[in-house]
Amino acid sequence: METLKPNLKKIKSIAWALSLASGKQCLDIPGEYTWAYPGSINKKNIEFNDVRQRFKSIFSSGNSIKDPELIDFIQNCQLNKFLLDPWTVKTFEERWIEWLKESNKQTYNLKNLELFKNLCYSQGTQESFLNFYITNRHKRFRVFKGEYWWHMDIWSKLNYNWKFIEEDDIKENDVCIVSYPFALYGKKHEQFGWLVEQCEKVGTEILVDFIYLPNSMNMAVDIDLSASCINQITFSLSKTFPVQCAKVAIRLSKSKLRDPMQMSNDENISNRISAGLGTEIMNNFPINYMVKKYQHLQLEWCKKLNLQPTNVVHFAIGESYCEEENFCSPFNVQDNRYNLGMLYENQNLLTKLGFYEK
Amino acid sequence: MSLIELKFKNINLSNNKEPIVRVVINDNELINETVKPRLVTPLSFYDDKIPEHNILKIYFANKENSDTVLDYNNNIIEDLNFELEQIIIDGYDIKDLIWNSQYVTKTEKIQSCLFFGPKGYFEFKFDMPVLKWILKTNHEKHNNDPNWEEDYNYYTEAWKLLNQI
Repeated sequence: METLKPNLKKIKSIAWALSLASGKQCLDIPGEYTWAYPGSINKKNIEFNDVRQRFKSIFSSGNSIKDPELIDFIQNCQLNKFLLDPWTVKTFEERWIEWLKESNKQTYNLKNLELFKNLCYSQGTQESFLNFYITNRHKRFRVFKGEYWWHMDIWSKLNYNWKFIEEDDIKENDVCIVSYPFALYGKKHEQFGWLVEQCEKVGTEILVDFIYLPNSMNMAVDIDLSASCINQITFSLSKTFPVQCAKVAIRLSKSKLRDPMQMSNDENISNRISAGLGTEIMNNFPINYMVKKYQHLQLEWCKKLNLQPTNVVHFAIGESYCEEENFCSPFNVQDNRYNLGMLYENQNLLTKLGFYEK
Repeated sequence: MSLIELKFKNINLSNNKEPIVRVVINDNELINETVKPRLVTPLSFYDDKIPEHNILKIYFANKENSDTVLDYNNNIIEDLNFELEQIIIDGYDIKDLIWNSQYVTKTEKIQSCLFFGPKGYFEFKFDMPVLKWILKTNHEKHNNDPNWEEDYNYYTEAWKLLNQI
């Protein structure tokens, strides 16, 4: 993959300053920038080693932009009422489809979305993945190198059979998972079309994970979903809106699946607080809200730091700014991907520190 | 202002006599008092100009031969002694570097000894700023932190920037 020579000195200075500011609790928007190393609840976490750990991981997550307007809106949502409403999850599922359609062909293009008639609330996309793993536990799992590390880590820990797509042909007993845009570099995986052809030929299945679709732009997602190998697709709010710990996601499938997640939905015992929160957000913000609001900042910061913008508004790519270290998992190899979210969120602080000029 | 914090453990009295330490840095006395589990002192006489190279000495000030009580078989049944457990300088626990020290008696120099038994003193050398010295010394010892200096510089720069606003 092509890499630029970023302004590493500036990137490092900013990373150290934000990491320290996080410990000193003087970021513009307080919150969790420290997904890998939150430090200790009992101290301020401003010592060298605390700050250094955060420095190494501060650009590395896929987390959403902590947009102040969204945070304010979420903080004021009254969610308990949803516990008493038996239609909460159904409303959420139907609203999701409308919400997707409202912006279809603006920043993305999902063709034949109407083929997915079965909607199922998912406790984060991770619940859909877990159900996919359970259902296909006797098969061989396949992902491209650079895919979301969680899959490989779990399969390894559970001794599931899996192999990178680059390392073997697609066979009948395989099942594939692909993020679109691809998790590592924010655009369609260059072998995605080939993979669909192979899976159609062999008669195996692909789960397409659209977790980054809401933050994608320039028609980076442009897909015909009619291929029979694509039977289930997943969407989430976690990487777009600051609700990743509320686990708001959905799975769409062409045929009705028979797995634990579907059973919970059929029983109407899914998480109504999360589903209600999702509906509130969808009713008040368009799916491409972040794209519209932050696209100009992505270009500005990429220019300042000499990074290459991607088609996902909070990502850029460029040579890594620190020693390679795979946070959380040996499979988390995302060194060339920069999450720019904390730069957007801390414009005032970064201006005061001299890193940003309006 | 810089602070030195010393932690002691296993403090044993003899004939109700408590051990006393005299803590000295570069020949300037910081503490002269009974050993407690935690002793803290500012380096007040230096204001902000602490020398780069420093020698910390902890004297066992009141140990006498009569503090060691023996039975008929020459087994020690009571003794005035204690152990140094931890040194924290400017909030930084020097951790394993505490073992880069010696205990000096009239007759010998015992390397890496934190036990205050015989009359003598504990001697430990360190540089300021202490964080820089800790990172450098650890890297020299274990050869596992090649970026220590660059990261230290970025860290201090970040503090300066954030202190300005």
